[in-house]
Amino acid sequence: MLDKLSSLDRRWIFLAITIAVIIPFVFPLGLPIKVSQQTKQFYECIEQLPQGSVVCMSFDYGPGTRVECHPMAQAALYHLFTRRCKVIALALWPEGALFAREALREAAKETGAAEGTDYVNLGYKAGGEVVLRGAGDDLRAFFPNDIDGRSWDSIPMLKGIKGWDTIDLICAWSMGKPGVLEYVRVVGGSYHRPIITGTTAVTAPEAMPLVNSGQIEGILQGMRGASEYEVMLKRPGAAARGMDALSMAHVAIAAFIIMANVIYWLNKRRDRRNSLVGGGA
Amino acid sequence: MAVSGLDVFGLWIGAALSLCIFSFLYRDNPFYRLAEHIFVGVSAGYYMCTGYWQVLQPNLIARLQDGDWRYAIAAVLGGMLLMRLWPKYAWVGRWPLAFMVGIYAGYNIVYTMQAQVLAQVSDTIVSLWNNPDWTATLKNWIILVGVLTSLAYFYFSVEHKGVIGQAARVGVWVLMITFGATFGYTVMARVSLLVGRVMYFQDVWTHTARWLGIS
Repeated sequence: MLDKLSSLDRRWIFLAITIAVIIPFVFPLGLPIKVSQQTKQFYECIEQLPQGSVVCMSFDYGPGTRVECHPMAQAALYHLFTRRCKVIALALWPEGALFAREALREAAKETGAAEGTDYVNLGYKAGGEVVLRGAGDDLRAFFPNDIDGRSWDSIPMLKGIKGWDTIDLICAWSMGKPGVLEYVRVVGGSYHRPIITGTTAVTAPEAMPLVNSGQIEGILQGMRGASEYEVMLKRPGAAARGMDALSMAHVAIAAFIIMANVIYWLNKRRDRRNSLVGGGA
Repeated sequence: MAVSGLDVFGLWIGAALSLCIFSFLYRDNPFYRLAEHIFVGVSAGYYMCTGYWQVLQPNLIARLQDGDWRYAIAAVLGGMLLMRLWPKYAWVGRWPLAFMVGIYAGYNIVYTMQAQVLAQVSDTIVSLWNNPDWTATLKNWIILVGVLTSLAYFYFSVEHKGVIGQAARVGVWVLMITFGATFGYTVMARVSLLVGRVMYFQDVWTHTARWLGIS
């Protein structure tokens, strides 16, 4: 039995985790979602913005991490538009601009925000940190047109916007490099603008020291963070919908880890006993 | 929301390709390879188009067309970089590469020192007493002990014996706990991707049902 379990085909593990993920979609469990301190900080940063504040939202993620970052972006846009804030969207990742367009349109439909007066999508710019540095005093130099080719001057909400100093809050959705770290280095470090972020779970450990040091004022960590934020907004979305499945998969993985360690320990004990018996003989 | 037949067709293509990729979990097979090749081809085409229309065209070609000839220098440097494709003249590519390395190194030294070294070091200078509650005191002690013992582990100028050895051993534990937490986050991220795909399959079904008028 022990030998069989020790050499268990890993495809059984894949199957077990798949079942653990699918079951909550068929029979929803409705597990409670507890809001973390970091998510509360993120929420409060937006809550404290005065009406008419300008927020720069950076969409730095691709299709691979859409499931984690996109629900955060949708929820934050809803939050900002209901608080009558203005959003300048841009992207340091090529696909980010397309996700920005999708999220902005959905949020506009939900809240009645208007393109050009409440939000603008400046599109993607290659160069990462260099773009942030170069656009520091004059965003228009790097983004002369929006994603659809409309010139900067023809967009009403961009009147009065120059560099990072004229932005009230930076909100970066980040899955790696370039991402929130670049914003902290350039926009936070040199222009002292407040930064909040939503990261993939993989990127979160890298960003957490920056949260503890106050360089990032609030963070949403992966799908869990997104679901907590949706709960705070009383607007359950894609992230909250997937949380039961995420929790079940974690339980399954934890069970496998415990099982593997117990089997390892039993095997070791058996080998030790066998060697003692062999030595005695 | 109205769903068109074309939308449903697109969703099913996505679902079929996802299943082809997942089939690799069983074993390598032609369906997986087909999906992989389609992905590589589509990605290459997408990045080529994005590279041209969102990088080269606005940042170089449009500026040259506007008569800003300073950008000719960038064009020449870019051309030199492409010489790496010919082994005989690959050395020409080293000059623009050296330029890029120099720029980025200079850039990063300042910002990394400011944002990641000095700010983080100052954050470890914390109050070990006189905190509002005991949890804050405990947290600050953990930060101090964690930083010092981790640094001791990476201090190789003396042999890890005695006090330094003990500190380094604690440092290993701190590092192990950090790696464990990071691994936990990685697991959460990967499972999230699977959850995302399952939600996509559910959406495919919902949209198809709506299109067929059975929901």
